[in-house]
Amino acid sequence: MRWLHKLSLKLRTLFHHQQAEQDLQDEIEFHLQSQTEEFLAQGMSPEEARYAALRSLGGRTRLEEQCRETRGVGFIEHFLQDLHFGFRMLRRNPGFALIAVLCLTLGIGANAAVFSWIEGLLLRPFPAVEHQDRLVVVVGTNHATRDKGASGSGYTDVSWPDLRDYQGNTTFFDSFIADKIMGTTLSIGDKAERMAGSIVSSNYFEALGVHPMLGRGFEPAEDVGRNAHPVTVISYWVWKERFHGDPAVIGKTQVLNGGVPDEFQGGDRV
Amino acid sequence: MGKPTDLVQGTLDILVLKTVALRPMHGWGIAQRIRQISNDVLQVNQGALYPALHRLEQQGWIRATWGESENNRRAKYYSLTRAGVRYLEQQQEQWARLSGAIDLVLNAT
Repeated sequence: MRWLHKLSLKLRTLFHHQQAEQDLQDEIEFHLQSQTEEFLAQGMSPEEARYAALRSLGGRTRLEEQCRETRGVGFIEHFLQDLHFGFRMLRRNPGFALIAVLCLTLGIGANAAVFSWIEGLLLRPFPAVEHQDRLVVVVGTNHATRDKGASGSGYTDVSWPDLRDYQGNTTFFDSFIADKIMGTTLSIGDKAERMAGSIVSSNYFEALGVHPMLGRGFEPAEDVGRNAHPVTVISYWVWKERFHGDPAVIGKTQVLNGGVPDEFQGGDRV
Repeated sequence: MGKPTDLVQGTLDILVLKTVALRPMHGWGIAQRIRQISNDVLQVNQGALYPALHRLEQQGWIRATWGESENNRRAKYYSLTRAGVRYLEQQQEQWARLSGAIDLVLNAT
């Protein structure tokens, strides 16, 4: 129970600081009075006796300070004192305080903004992707416009047969995925809305290591051949905002691009 | 008998603990008591007594309560805690060993 005793003393010093101080003063005063009385009995004058008693303690202020130090919470006390002092100074100079707060606000805000920008662009551009350090983009080059500068855009899409060849004949990469960003029209009820989306190969989610929260991604061989059929995966945002987070959207048929019914297969939080 | 001597370094704690083990006592009383029992040989430096008392209290060997002194003043009385009793026993053993060893050395012929 010794630690409990010690803790209660420390808490008392912190939260009943005045009482602890008063106790210290009273204790030393009691000692001084007792000592003074002894000196009086030895025949000193009252002033002499009091002075001699003080001297026998070897400096009252220093003694009190030594006693305070034994409490071992000096650093907390000093910190609180500094804090109080800081607040008082800020209240005394409201203009300075305002500018200081403003500077800190702007500084922290700007730093946070820049960091999240850098993080999003450079450090973790695709947060949900499992091995983004191994992600590379393959683009085709267009011989006709290749040497005509930036505006000429020497790049072009990789054709589907080329992709099949890469997939079949390359061992250097784990897998190839196709991703063509384009827009589509999402119709819910009597409302239609322009949405950004991608047409992707069926191994898209598997290769990126992204798993839909609800439903499923694409099955292999769902993109070409006899078993091919349109499957849509929607983003978490669309699911929350346009479908109100309804889990029953899985498996429903959804109209995209006005009228062509696509089978609707799941939600994903990318 | 000569002038009262200052305490041997490091013995103040054990003297204070032993003194308050007999009965609860205030700082002034402790100093007086040590002097009386030692036949005026041991003189507690009063500047060192109070920091020592506070330190022993913080370490949990003694506890303090406020009470009335002999002349009806409010005084802080110290008494030994249970942990303090054990600590005092240890310290006493250690002191016995140390002083015994010193005796052996000094009385060597």
